[in-house]
Amino acid sequence: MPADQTNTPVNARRRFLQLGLAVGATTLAGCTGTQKSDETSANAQQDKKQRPEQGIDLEKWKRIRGKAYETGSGPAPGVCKLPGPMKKKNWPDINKYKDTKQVPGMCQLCSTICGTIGHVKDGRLIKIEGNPKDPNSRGYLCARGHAGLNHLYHPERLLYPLKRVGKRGEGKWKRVSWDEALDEIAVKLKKVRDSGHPEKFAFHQGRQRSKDALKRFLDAFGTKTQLSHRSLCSGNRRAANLAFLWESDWDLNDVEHTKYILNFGSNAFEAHQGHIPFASRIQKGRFENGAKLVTFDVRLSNTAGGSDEVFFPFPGTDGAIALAMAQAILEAGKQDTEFLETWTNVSIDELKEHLKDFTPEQAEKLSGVPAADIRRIALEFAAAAPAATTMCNRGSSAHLNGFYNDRAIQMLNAIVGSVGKKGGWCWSPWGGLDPNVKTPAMPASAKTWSVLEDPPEYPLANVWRRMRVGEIIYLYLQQRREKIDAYMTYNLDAPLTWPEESLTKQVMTDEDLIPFHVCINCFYNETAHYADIVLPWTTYMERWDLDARGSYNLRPYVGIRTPMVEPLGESKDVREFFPELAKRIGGGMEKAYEYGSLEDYMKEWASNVDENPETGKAGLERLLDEGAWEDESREPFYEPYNFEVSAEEMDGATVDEKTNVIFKDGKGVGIMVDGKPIRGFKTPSRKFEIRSLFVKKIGNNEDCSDLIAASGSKAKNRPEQHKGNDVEIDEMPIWFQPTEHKNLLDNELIMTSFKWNVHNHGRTMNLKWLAEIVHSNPAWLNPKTAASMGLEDGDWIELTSYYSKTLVEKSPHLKRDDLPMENGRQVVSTMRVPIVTMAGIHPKVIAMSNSCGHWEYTNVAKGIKGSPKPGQGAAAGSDGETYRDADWERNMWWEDQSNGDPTKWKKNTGNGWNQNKLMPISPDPITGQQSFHDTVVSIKKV
Amino acid sequence: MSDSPTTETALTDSASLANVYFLLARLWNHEVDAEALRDLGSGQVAEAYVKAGGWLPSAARIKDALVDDLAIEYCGCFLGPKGHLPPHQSVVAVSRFQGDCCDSIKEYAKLIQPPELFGSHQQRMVDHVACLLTMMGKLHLDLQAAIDQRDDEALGVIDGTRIEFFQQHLVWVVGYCSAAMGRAQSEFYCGLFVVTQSLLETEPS
Repeated sequence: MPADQTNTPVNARRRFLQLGLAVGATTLAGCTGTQKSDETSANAQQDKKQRPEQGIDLEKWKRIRGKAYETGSGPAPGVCKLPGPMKKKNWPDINKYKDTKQVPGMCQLCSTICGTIGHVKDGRLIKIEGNPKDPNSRGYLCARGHAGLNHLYHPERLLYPLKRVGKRGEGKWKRVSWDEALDEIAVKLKKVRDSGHPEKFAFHQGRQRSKDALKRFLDAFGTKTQLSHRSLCSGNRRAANLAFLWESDWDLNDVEHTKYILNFGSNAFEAHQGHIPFASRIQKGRFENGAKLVTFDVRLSNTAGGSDEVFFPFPGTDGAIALAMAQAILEAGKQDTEFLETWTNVSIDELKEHLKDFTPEQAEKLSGVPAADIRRIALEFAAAAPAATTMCNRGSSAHLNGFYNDRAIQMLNAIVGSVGKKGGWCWSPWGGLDPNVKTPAMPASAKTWSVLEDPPEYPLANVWRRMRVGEIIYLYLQQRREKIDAYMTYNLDAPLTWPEESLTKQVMTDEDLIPFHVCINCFYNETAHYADIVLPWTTYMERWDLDARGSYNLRPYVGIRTPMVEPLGESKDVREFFPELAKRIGGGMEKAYEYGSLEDYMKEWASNVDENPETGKAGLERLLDEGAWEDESREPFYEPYNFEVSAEEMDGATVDEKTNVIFKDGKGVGIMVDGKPIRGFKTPSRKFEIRSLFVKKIGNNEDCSDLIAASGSKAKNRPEQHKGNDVEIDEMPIWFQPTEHKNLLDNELIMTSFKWNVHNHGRTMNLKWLAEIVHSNPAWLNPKTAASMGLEDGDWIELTSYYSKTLVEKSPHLKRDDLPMENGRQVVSTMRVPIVTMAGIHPKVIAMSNSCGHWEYTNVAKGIKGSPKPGQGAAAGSDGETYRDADWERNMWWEDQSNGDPTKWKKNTGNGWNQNKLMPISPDPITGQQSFHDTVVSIKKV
Repeated sequence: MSDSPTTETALTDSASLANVYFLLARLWNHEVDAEALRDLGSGQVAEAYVKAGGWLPSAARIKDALVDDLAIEYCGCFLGPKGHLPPHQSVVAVSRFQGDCCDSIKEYAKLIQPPELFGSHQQRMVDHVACLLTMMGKLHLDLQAAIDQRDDEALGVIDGTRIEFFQQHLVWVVGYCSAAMGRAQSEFYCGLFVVTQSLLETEPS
């Protein structure tokens, strides 16, 4: 070997000097003027002119030498240097949070959107806290909210637009510029728009809190095919509320002032849409107001565990119990007669007749809850009224009989007269922003129709609110009931969170079914994996929104989401790139964005926020200062049905002699009660409609124009496309049992799912602070059930899930002939999981949490520390040689080392299993709500 | 890593080394295009780059397909969307973006005033290897200027800063390159990691 090719330091340096000289003669270095570096100082002055500014300030240079960021041998604030279980992390500098800039925001790691404050120092977010000025969350913030830091600074965040290179789903990508990405998307979307069928552009959102921005883009484009996941969540509860109220799909139980909370399957302490604002008020009600909390749930959730009494009913029997309670209250004469007679549209005798067969004894046979307890609790509830309220959510509604379950439960409030009362079962018409806050002028709404957005088989999915039927989308695409040309997903993780994982993946892979897929997301996930272009989205800590939810203060408010820091990499929010995309698509779309800058838009949007007399700040300035604004001059929305109709409203009004309903301009505005014009309920009868003629008629596609007019609401008849899709809906709250739940075999159980307090469904398992707490989901099984099958804690079972016989009977349009038959049942899927035995679960139930089992959502979500083997792909931020991250390198103790061998699997390791692999697509035939808690599974020991 | 070079050696070396840093920064910062590949593959640069441990395709192979393949590889190495090694010091140190080291780098940047090779997003993410290499290149340029001006005091301060900056913000890159080398699918990027690692190993420790 020649002397100059040996690898001595001198030779290495020589080689680089040669390279530097050669590079200097080109433009490769990106800097000019360094090619003469070997010339004498006589030429130096001339060279300097061509070099980058040096700007040496010797004194400054001397000073900075004292500032050291140690990554070698010395300590660094907040950084653990040496791996090892005994090594303690250095505590952060005591001054770490001093002099931080505090920026308000709103969390978006679940649907509750608690107010937050970000502590920002030197352009970096270093801490998130709850905002005490947020009227709904009042400064409380859960673990998810604090883990926003993991979300913002996750090392596997998408930072650049990517374009698919190989086959769809192959996982090969290259970076493209935003211009390239938007140009390509615009060409595709323009073609769809120009085709005259804009509805063939389907926008599919997961959790979204930028409603105005999405609607503006889609309306400007002209498509109404905006798909959502609402039916996976709460369709039945919403429909039940609307059937009674027609005003709000969301009850806001006044638990803070209550004396009694009757909880049917709601897990408010962990996963409720009202989560922290609701849970904190429940606890205030209990500990400051002496309220009793009684829970009926198939599983000991954290809410059940924190209750005063808990019962484990057979799945889906909540409605039977509630009807029995109603019967017991009426039988004992403990109903609120005045409320029932004045404010409902049934008589007590009618109710008694209707409920005569729903006895506590019958409910005991169905649910397993003792009749004596049903009676006792019913009478306790009635005695506490009007400061008594039910609460329910997915636990009772995510069933094939969920619409009836929730109607039966909510009816209890009418029977005891707690509807709208302080401490009772309340609601507000303000599900979002304070109505004083006006969105800057929007384009006209799109008028298209699509079977995906409005499947004609589900009568209550869209008549009051657009709840849609999310879970049928991929099935209908596969069955070619609808053809789309372009598909844009937004904060969505369909393969993981939708039922029938395999079908979803199959459809998303198929370029005939989805010809073009743009994914907007912060992370590469199971949805992005099947995209053609991935656009890096900003996190909720890097973008703008005005936002609010139905407030438990029962009056509206407005909160603000602001960029706490500059967006990372090239990530952008839709507010930034939708206008650009609209311009490229052209054809008038761009006119929807003639509002000026984003700052102008936000200022206009927030312009009606009142001035704070103490600070003198109003509008956007006030929101930026305080984070939220609540109009405290408004009274809480108690007993709105008793509000008087004003003389002005009565001017020109007429009263229907038969019904006493007051009409003005052909629309109902109130009802005469004892000779006084009163607002009443916003239903056709202006009463709390225990009997709903509307649901019966609309189910049969009958014209309901007169009922809609009397309600004065914006409800709609079903469109022409629904003709021939009649569904029988009972006028009254009833209850039935799904066929497949009757006569279960010994090895058959009903599967239920649940959510933990540290996770949302599909977006938090990548956050290490949360994943460490919950990262896996073995199946919960009652010890007696386990023993009867010869199973012990930690054993593995094989689960086989079956398609619903009720759906075969009631929803033949789903045409699931593709599912194979086994012993007279259609098999959906099989899966192997370990079990954990829990006394706190019904013996005929098997429970698995969702959130787990990711296969394309960062290495934390996958539970992978890192692969030492070349070619297997390294884990970002977790390579044992390169990285020294205390959290992953040594603390990801839950990595599964078994290589898929159940005999080597250790408890509490791994990232769990996607429970939705087993779940069939199973929409409630009335509303389309996915019945997540009804699936019959058989189990056998592995 | 070698001992500190003598002033006499540095008299002729620093500007050359600056060029190498700037070149490498460019290759780390974004995908290589056909023009850059051709420039790299021409004459003395090619010979010197290969001698330094790099790999270059022959002129005949420089086609769109190869450039595309290298773009995919760049993505797989640095950007993801999965299985990548984000070339950021924060990720290495604390497994997240925007760690404490960014503050320190920004302080250095105020003094070093590196040429603006990058977009605004990289000014926010200053701990990217490309930024750090650029700053190192600028330090070498400044060193050369001090040498040219025979300003011994400035020379001492700048050289001391260079050593500190290297120790605080570039030592990790050596280990990173080892890990990345084992995973790179292409000879080009494997070569880039070799060249970068070798260059850094010539710096005083």
